[in-house]
This record gives sequence, structure tokens and C-alpha cells, in this order.
Amino acid sequence: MEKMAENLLECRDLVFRYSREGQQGETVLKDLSLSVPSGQFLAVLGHNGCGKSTLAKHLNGILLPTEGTVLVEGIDTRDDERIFDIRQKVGMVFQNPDNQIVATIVEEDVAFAPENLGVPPEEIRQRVNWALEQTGMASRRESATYQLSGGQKQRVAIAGVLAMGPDCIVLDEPTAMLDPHGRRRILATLRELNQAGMTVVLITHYMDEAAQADRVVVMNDGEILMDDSPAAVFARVEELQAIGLDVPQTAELLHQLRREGIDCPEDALTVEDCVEALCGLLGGVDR
Amino acid sequence: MSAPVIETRGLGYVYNPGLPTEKVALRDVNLQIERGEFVGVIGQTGSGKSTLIQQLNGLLRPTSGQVLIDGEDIWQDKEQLRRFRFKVGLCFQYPEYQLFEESVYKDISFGPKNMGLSEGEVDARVRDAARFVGLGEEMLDKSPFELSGGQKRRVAIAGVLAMDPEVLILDEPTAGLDPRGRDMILGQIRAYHAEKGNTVLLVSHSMEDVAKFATKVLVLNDTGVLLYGTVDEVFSRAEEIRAIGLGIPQITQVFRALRQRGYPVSDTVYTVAQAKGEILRLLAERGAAR
Repeated sequence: MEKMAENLLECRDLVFRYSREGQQGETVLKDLSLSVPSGQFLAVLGHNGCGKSTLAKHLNGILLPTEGTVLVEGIDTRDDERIFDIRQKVGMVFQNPDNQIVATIVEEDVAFAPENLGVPPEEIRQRVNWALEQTGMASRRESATYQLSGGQKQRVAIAGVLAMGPDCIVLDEPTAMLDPHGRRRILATLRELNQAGMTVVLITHYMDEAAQADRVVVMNDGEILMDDSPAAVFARVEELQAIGLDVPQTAELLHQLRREGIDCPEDALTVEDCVEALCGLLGGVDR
Repeated sequence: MSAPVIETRGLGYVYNPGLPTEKVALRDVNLQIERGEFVGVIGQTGSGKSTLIQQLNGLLRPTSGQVLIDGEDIWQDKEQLRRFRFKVGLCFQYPEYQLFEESVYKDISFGPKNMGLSEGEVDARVRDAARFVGLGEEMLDKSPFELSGGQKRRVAIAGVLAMDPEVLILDEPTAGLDPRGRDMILGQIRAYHAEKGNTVLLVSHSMEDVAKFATKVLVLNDTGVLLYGTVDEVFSRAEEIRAIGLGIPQITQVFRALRQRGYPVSDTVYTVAQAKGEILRLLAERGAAR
């Protein structure tokens, strides 16, 4: 991949405060700066209330900064004239699959955005076909949307966003309401899209999902606490636990062993890595 | 010998029988759950979990077979059904959407009031339930709609606890919560179970949580019971569990892999603490041997 490091998304000194009846509310984002290059798979982790959803809503102009700037491919999200361009470039998928389906038939739902954008019918058809292929929902194209499982609905929601032809897709806890099977399918879909060049921003509190990203940003209290590779982030077991996040059991075990003074790697994220690390530690098998 | 608190005999359930949308949700389910167990209920979406738990307090009527609570068929006399609804408290997924009263206190008291308890008894129940879920006195007069999502969830759970059911069924009580909220609610349910000694059924997708909190595990697959047994019994059958698309705890997978490679480690490791103990034991033995 490695395109030129052009930032698809850029937040500069972003501050956001909710205001209520003219009263100044709580500051949710505190001087946050973040650049996302084109083609990256970024995971944003944090517990409830850390500001991660508020950040997501800034990435396509659903919310506008109180202070600072958000740029989408160089366009300021405050630019009223360009807001539709921005929304078309950055698609959003939310937590609750039931809130995102507008039509009663899968393919009609996926066609909704391109129809509204005035795309010619032949191209709509192509886009819908492509989007349904990408999300593994092609076989259900004529199904009623209400008959789908949560995970399938969420894939239809992703397909609907894809049909708009975005450069980036932002997902705010898309798997929080899904079962493990549905979660795995969504993650596989996102990885495939990313490999095909789509920029992906995944807001989550599941560590195993974040472990699959190129880069992990950990947020706490409206600020960026960590910004690194998944392995480097998950090695910081105590800091993550201190802000109420989970660490994969494998990473926690190795961390605890290190605390006992045992020399073992910190950054084994998968079961396989952990098994290798422990075998290295235990030496050969006695017979 | 007392009867199991929950028993199903040949329980079957078909949605929309006779219609083109007919769907068999449960087929010949025979299950006995003993009093006082903390049962983790796992299974893929569509395996019949929700249908089963709705049978257990009579929200759905079996299309075949029986549901017995304390040895009594709950559908034997329709007039008596209400009694079983009080015995078996069911807390749905996303229960916070079901809050409706103008104060937290009133919402929690709805169940016990309907049971016909005296005002004093209702008050005691409400306060006790609020304590279990960690809602302070100052919260009781608030509107449920002023609360955060996690707080609302706890109010809804308190509403079920206040009925002091013999069997408490929770359908994914931690869905959508972050790890901190999840640990808080599961810890409170565990404390409630320990203090009351009643039967708890917890529907969960998290094998780690089930391994940590449950005494028994019920695995449902494709309209029936695949496995029912202790945590050790069930998780030792990893292949069967994986075959139906469910996982076993990550750390359990690590230890099974170590055993396969010939290391003499326990294959009943579910928590990081157990894992650490095993590794330290092994290292010490190896050190002593050298």
C-alpha cells in the first residue's frame, strides 16, 4: 500500500464542549490532535465517556469543533458548502444495527444513499452489487431487512455506506450488540476492505478487535493517552487497566510473569504468540 | 430429595406453526437445573437461548412438552401462571429501554407492588435491591432518564431483584457496556447470588465471564442442549464447542496447546491467576530438577 502520507483525516487542537441552553457544558475533547493517513486501519479504544464517540462524530461533520479544526481530505468540516462532499468521503456506521436500516429489502437499503446522490441507475446497480459482495451479503440481497440477525444488519449498514463510494469508513462500536460470530464477520469484512485500500477508523472497547488494526489510539478523559502499534499499546497492561480497559488474557499473563521477575516478552497478543513465549520460557519437554 | 428448581420435559417450541414462516426454535429439550446453581448459558444467536428463557417463566407456551418450576408444571392451571412469573425473574437484554416510571424508586417498586406486598415490605425490597446494584439512596428520587446508560441498566436489574425471585435469569446483562461497567454488574450479581443462595441463569457471549462466574454451563446449539455440566466438564470439550462456532477462554486455549506439546500443565485453566500459578509451579519444578 504505502501511498504518499497524505492525511485523509486531520484533527488539530480539537476542543469540544456540549452546550445546553446557552450554558457551557462539560469539555468532552480537550485539545486533541490526530492525523489518519489514507489507507490506515486505526482503532480508537477507550471506556464509556472518554470522548471516543464524540471524536467519531467530528470525522464527518455530525459535530463541529468548539475550538480547533477537523479536515477531511483537506476540507474543513465547518465549511457548510462542502458538508455533503465530506459525508460522501467519510461514511459512518453506528452501534445499533436497528437504527440504521431504512428500507425493508436488503438491496433497496443499500441503494438508498446512491439514489439520493443522483447516481445513474446502472451505476447504482453496480455499486450495490459490489457493496453486497464486499460484505458477504450478496446471497441475502432480496431478504427482508427485519429478518436479518444483528450482525447481518450491521453488514448491510456497512454495505449501505460503501455504496456511497467513501474513501474512509468510521465505525462507532459496530460490534457492541453482536454475538462473537457476528463480531468476527464484521472484523473480517473491515480487514478485507482495508486491504483493498479503504481507510478504516474503528471505535471499540474490545481489545481483540483493536489488536487487528495497524495503529491503536487509546483515549481517556477527552485526551489521547497512547498512540502506537497494537503490540506496544497492549504491553502497557497496568495503565490500560487503570483506565478501566481490558487486556487480553495472554498479555496479562506475560505481564504478571514479568512482575515475578521472569524474563518473557511483553507483546504476545495472540494465543500462538503466547504459547511460543511460554515454550521458550519452559524450555524442552521432559520425557 | 427435592425436585430440581427448573426442569423441562420434552420441551419443544415452534414459532408461527402452520405458516410459511414456521420455525422450530426448541426440540425435545430435557433439562434439570438444581437449586442454587449459577448457570452460564451460551450458544450462538439463533440457538434457542432466548426462546428457552422465555419458556421458563411462561412468556411463551410450549408447543410440546412441559416446563416445571419446583416440580410443578407452570401451565397446569393458567390462573396460577402469575405465581411462577414471580418465582422466575427475567431481565431482558437492554432492559434500560423498559424503564418507565418517574423515579428510580417507583420503577424498582413496580414488581414487588404487583406482588401485593405491604408498603413496608415493598420499601425494604426496593432499598435492598438498590443496595445490591450499588445505587445510593440519593439516586432513588431521580428520574431514570437522568441517569447514564450503565446506571439505567442497574435500575432495571434492581427492578427484577426486588421481586426476590427464586430463579433470576439475565439475558446478556453486560451487552454494550465497557469493561468497567461489565465487571461492576457481574460482581454485583455474584454478590447477590452468594448472599441469597438462589438460582441464577446468566446468558452470555463471553466465555471468560462464564468461566469466572458460573458453577455450571449450559451450551445450546440448533434448537437443543449440546452440553450441560460443570465449567470443567464443558470447557474440556473444546472441540465440540468450537465446532458450533463458540470459543473457549483465550488462556484455556494457551494451556491446551501447551499440553498438546507435552508440557504437564492442567487443562482446566480459565483465569490469568490460575495460569500464572501453573507456570510458576512448572518453573519451580524444573528449577529443582536441574
